[in-house]
Amino acid sequence: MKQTRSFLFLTVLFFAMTSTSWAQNPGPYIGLLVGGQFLAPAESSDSLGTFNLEYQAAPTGSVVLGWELRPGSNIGEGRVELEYTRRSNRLDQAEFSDGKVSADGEVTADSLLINTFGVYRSKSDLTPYLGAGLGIARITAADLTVTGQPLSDDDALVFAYQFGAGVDIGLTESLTLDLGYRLFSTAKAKLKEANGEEFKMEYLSHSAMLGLRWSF
Amino acid sequence: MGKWLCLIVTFLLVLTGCGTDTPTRINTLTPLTSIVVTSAVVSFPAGTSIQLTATGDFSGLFTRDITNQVAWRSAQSFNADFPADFPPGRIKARERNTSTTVTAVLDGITSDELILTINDAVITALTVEPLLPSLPLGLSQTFTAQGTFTGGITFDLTKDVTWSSFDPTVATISNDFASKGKATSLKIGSTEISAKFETAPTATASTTLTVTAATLSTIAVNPVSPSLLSLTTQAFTAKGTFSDGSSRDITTETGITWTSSDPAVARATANSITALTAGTSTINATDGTVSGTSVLKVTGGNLTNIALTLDKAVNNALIKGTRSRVTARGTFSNNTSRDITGAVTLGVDNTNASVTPMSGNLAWVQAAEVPTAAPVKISASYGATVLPGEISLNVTEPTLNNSGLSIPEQSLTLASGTSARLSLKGSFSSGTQDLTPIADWAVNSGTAIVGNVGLDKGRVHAGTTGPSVIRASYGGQTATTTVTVEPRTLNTLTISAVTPATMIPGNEKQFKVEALYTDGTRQDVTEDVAWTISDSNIAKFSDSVADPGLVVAVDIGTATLTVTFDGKVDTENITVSQ
Repeated sequence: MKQTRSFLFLTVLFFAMTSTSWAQNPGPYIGLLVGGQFLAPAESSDSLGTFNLEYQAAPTGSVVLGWELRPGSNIGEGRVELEYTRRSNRLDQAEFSDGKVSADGEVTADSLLINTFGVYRSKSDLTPYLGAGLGIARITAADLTVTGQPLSDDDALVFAYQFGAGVDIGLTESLTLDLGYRLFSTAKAKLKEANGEEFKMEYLSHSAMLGLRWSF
Repeated sequence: MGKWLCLIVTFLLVLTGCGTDTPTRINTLTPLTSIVVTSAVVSFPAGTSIQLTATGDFSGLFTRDITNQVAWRSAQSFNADFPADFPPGRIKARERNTSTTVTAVLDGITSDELILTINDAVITALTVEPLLPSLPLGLSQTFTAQGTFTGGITFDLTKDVTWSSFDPTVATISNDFASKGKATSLKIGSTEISAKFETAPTATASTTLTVTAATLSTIAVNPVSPSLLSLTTQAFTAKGTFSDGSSRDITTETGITWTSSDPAVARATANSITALTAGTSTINATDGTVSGTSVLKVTGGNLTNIALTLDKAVNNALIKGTRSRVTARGTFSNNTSRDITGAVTLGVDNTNASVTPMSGNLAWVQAAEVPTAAPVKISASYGATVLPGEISLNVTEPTLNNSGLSIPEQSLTLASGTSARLSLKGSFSSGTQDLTPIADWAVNSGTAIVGNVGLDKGRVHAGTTGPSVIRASYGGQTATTTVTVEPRTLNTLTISAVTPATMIPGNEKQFKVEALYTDGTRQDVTEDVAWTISDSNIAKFSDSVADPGLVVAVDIGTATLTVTFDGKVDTENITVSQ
């Protein structure tokens, strides 16, 4: 109970301190976001048919370098940014027509995207945004095994895209807190199985992000 | 705001499109650790075969039937073996009073041994089923063989006997393992089907298979899903497909019955289906247990009123001996009206006039005698729920004035291959009347042709280039006119239409076609062009003979109206909305 009261107090204090700033800091910015991400069960396929791979949730991190447009800009209100993100999840289970069995290994997506976000500005301290990004990702399947037997150890460069939504909270004239959600996906990665045969792997990730952007 | 909505919708679409399906791939990664071989029986007579099953255990995580993947081994293959033409795991007993040890091997894993005993039972009786079957031409029949062995044990020997047909031109029977015992009929007749158990002591059983005429398999009713205007009739057809693959039109064959699931919506008189009221009804063509269906949609509302008109009568009066076309026009519950002459029953209440229905929507009223009392009452009725339409006709007998005939269409010019209508106007002591349908039309000179029968009376068809003199006679007098055929070259055809601009089911729309010639002249060629509509479920011609170009809307949709004449084509879209 005491902890709850402390949390509420800190929260109110936080917003009281920041309530005078709007989330609009036109010009260049850099940012760092961290969060948790859930890699959705993905359908994979090879010449024998389809099978599903299930992963464990994991942390994720992004760095961004961008430019926020000034309010009332002719080309719209929002920001454009270059984003690098790493998502790395442990393979948990593999599902075949025979049923689910344990699996292991690491699937990592290193992505480089160009994002554009539109913002909706109001008198409120909260500035919601919505946007999308396009780019490339390297999908690395590191030491994937199924019941201890090797499945794949390969990587592939694929087309990647994401949709994002969230809310910006202006902390100071140059500092913005970003609470967001990202839906990240790629084209099917073509990887080699341990026996040399090719298999295709889907990749779709949901991420909840918390970050800070510093405008300069 | 629109950009935001677009983004959100795209976002949601992507979200909902994600997910996994049930896997189709077997797990070939997890190692096989053991195999278990099982059999429903472990002791069986010589000459018979049984199916074994191999189940793999994969690291204790799951099991899978691997009967088809393993290599089957019989340690004493002289006693029992796995024939090459048998499916995997099917073992055949050879030597009586012996045994063999069976194992299954896959990926270096060998199953536990299964010992099978070939017992000393011998066959005492063999039977085949079914007995004395009849098989329609084109169909197949699978026979089974059952053996009884000493000790009273019975075995299904369908896969272990040799099948034969005495007359393979009537029916063949398969000895391939997958289809063993399956007889296929080839022609009408009889043949003996035999099964022989080849292991000594051998046994044989047989039965007679009679191949009968092909039976009806399916019925296809056409049109498949038609729309019909209320009060119209359409002939449906039924195409039967038979067990031998043949097909033919069975519309009117004995045994075919036609029914309508809702007689209030549509009535079936043999294959003639009459649409009655708006709604849907399933039209069935049935022969025994086989039937075909078509779902009929009746459009155009329900009949609420009938009105009659006489096109040549003046103030509802016709001169004795003349005639007029009579038209019954129905008003419907969806606020439409249309010509229903062909659907109603026409009648008169006395012999001073007569009514003669022709084909389609054409009907004539002939004025016979001057009534001594009340006028002649002409009626049009349809069913019992709508009041008949009525019109009173006066028959008069005035005197034809001197020089009382005239043809209004004077100095008419026509292009080759076209036609036009002439009319004859009679001037009587009591007034005038159009005498076109009763006059005697002829050609005095020239190569034109003039119609002198029914609706064609007064219609002049162009002959060769030059003038023709057309004569119309009535009551001892004659009138003439000159029609000149000119050598014109057709440039374009143009369809034009009168109101309504948009149509709902039941509406009529009169389309006209005008020809534009290279010399700049124009001529109405509505009666000369060939008319077609792309989809009769959307719109159809009211009466292509009596009323060229008169289109009636049937159901919602768009159809294309096409006219063709002298190598030229024009089209018009007909849109029917609710």
